[in-house]
Amino acid sequence: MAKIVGAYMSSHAPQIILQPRVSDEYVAQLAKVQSALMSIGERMRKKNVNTLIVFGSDHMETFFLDNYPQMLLFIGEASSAKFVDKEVAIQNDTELALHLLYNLLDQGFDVCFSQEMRLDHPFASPLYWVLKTAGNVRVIPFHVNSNVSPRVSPKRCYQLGQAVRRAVEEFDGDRRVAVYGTGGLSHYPGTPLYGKVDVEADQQIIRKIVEGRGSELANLTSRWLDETGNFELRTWIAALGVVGDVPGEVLVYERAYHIGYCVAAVDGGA
Amino acid sequence: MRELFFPELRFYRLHKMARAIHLDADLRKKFWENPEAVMDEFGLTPEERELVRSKDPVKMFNAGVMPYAIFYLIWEAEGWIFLPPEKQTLYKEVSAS
Repeated sequence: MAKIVGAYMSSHAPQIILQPRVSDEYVAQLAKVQSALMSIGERMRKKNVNTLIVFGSDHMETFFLDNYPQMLLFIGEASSAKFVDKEVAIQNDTELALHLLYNLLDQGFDVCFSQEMRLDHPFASPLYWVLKTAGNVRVIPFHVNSNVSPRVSPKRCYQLGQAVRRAVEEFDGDRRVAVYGTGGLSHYPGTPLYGKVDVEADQQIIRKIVEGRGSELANLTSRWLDETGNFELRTWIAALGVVGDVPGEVLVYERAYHIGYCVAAVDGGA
Repeated sequence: MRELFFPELRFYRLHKMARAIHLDADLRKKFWENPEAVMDEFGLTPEERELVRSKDPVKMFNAGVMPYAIFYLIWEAEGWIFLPPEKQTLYKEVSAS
């Protein structure tokens, strides 16, 4: 029987793998983030995770405006997540991915699918570090649109997470499954607000996760998420929907010059 | 606040070119050497061309260009991502005094 053993969440800024040495302070901050990501991999290895479902949002990199999906499951055998000179190869769990697709459609989530796709930094940045220490883990990439408007509502993201949990628990195979939400926290890429970080908003989010009140994040509005630079929280909300209201832990929070870097874990959920 | 990440139809070609420059190292090199030729290739409108030539992220944003296209053209293609923080951030914290 398949079961959910944890949810992990982190930033995915491309700088995490690009590692630009823009200041001593920044280099030190990136090192903390990278080390927290590797400790997530360690946790997964200790919990014997076989499959990791990763909620990440494309940024008009994998997909373009000729055909832009709101939710899409990758069901192909293998893919690679690339950013400039860094590349992470992933092997999918095709059996579970296909089960998820059918089950979610039956539950009323009309999720698109792909059998061939190139992933970008939303997957590459965290997985580059997490998979170094996670052992033999298969990865199911799950695009949940948080970056190209109009986007999936936060409430729907939470419901998606709940549906994914039901789908995993109905899977007739032996699996230990973890989920991962990538993105955030506060940042304003490509806008005149680049450099602003809404630390107060980030702390509010962190508090909810630590106190096991993740379901309340589903009530945040798209407008609030945009205003606080937290639009990518949608992927975290989906991951929290999978584990439910279980107290979590924040491994790192660093206010960097362009983003509030955060790595968080909810080890329970099963 | 405008809907921040809506890709305006009138910038379709610019968005397509910015994404291609992000994904394709050869095209990026070609863009550095001859931006006009790459803009021809993607059929940019006069308005789009003027915005790309400006290399001004605030101007692009105010015109309604998608923030990620701006990120690909300025922070990536122009190398801002490697500049000292104060040179690549546009927002400056207002001091309390």
